[in-house]
Amino acid sequence: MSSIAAPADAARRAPKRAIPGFGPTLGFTVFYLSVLVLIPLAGVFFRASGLGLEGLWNVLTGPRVLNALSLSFGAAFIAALINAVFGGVVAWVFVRYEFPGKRLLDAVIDLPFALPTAVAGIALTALYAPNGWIGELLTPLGIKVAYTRLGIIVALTFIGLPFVVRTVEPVLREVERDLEEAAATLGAMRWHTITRVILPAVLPALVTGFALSFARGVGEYGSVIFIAGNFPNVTEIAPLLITIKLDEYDYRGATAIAAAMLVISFVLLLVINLLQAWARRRA
Amino acid sequence: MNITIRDVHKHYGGFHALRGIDLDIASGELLALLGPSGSGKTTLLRAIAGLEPLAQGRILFGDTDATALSVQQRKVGFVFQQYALFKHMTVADNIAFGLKVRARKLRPNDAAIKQRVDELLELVQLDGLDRRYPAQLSGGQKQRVALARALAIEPRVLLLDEPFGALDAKVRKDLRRWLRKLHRETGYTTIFVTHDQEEALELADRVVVMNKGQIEQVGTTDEVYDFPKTPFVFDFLGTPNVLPGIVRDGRVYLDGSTQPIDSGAHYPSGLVDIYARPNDFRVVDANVPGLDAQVLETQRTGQRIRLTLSINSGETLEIDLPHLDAELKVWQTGETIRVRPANFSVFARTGAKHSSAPDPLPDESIPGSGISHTVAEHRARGRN
Repeated sequence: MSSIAAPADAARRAPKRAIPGFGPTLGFTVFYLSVLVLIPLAGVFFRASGLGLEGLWNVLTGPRVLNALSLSFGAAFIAALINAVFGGVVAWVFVRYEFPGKRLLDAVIDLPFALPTAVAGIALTALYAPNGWIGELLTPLGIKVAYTRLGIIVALTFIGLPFVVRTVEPVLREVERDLEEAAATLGAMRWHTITRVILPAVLPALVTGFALSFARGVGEYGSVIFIAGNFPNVTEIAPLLITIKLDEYDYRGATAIAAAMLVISFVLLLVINLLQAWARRRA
Repeated sequence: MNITIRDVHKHYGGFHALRGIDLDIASGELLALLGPSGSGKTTLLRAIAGLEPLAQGRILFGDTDATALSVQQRKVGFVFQQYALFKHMTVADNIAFGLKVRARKLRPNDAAIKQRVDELLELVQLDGLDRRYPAQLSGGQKQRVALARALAIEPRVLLLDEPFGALDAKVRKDLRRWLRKLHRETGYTTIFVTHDQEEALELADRVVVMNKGQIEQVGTTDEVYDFPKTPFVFDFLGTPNVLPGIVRDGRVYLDGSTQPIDSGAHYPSGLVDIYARPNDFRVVDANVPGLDAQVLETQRTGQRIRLTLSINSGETLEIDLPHLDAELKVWQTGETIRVRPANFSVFARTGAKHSSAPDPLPDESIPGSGISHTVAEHRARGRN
């Protein structure tokens, strides 16, 4: 019996994987994500659940909350869209051309990453206020930026730009020059080369950059509260509303909004990820 | 379409990549640009395609000045070394690309495009793979898609940059043969770049050997192989043995020999280098002019036998002989034999390459010859 059992034992043991360390690294990943992300987020839902379904519904369908949520997501979406277009152009310039001051400009791109967002908010407000350098020029045209929704979009565009540039840059660098030259020898004009050859190649990276910029915009607080003016129902973003609720000791209300933001963000990011997977499969 | 290239120069910053290229390419010709990396062969190919703007010189397609045309207007079929296929398009869309991007009034209708794609797929023997993406193809298949895509626009000339460089040896051989056949069938003027002399000689009608931005020699494959004009060409088309020698009164002497191995008015007088390929040596009797050498190593591979010999200057000589039954003979290590280059080229010696050759030793048997003669000594050692 034992002579038969021995090989069976050996067979039962899982075959060794070629890539070592699966067990420890997966364990670490789960632990790390749990401590840093999952448990705190679960806490949010746990707190919010204290309201009960009806209570939750009442908080979330209040006009002020609805307005804040739609403003946060809407502004972040528009800002991310703007960044996807112009960040793509910036990345293109950095990858394809040499010009004096390139390294300096390259460093400037990362500033929104490093700058305390409140500083950015104050600086932008000073610039775009009706008596600021840029605001002064826009006021005669009837365009108001500071203390309007437009101001929020400007702030979110500012902080989201590096996400697009830094994700598209390496991918664009890998699109071999050969491809553009091949398109040219086949008779394709510049426009066709860009739309049919280069854009499809960098589309997955653009979508990633868009998603990162969007996610950052949804959660942004510091830079927006200075330029937004924070009028309830008009320029009040959801993160600010959460802070206000906290200040009023309405912890459940605050977590209810937070939970709603989490769910919406999660669904949107999931959709974006699927889109990306689709774009990548085609690339 | 015949192509005329006149006085073409190209600089990259301080680097002079092309130094006055003049070349005539006949219509329907299959031409190889052969040279080491940095010789300017790819730059020249790209200049013909219009991918490298030229500061000086003219390139004519027939009677049309191509230098004035953009890349798009030149209508060249260019096949890139790494294929440069559009990864997000299917094989069929890749091939159709050049037709689909045409201005509306020049664009064939969808049915015509589809038919053309099908024809080309058949031509490059990829029928049935039209729905695949480049990532799903092997290297050789990608190469053929790239070729079909280039042919789709009915190019004036087909340009191929190291077309088989990224493929393994077996596929390369097959594709070469196939490309030769394709060229015969389609008749496109074709120029390809390679650093592989075997590839150039096997595939091309004519070979342009390039070095340091200049053309060293242009000729048929036989011409450049049998009559290399410069040491560089000889060196590049094989691994020659270089023997020091001297030419006096039109007679060619190997160093250490009193009998000329050849004579002719065309040989340059003075110190020379005699270039001979391993398979151009013959083992000869002691009374025939030649070079005495000691066998260091013998190695037989199938029908050939390769001898490594040591000659009196201390250098080694590699010779390659047919191993025929009739003259079956086994040379022993240490044995001294006399060899003679049957075919060789003679170039005036330049530089200090052989300045370390042994000083001429006085030799009683050849009074006043002044030619180094350590062979006797050598032979004596061989007998011991």
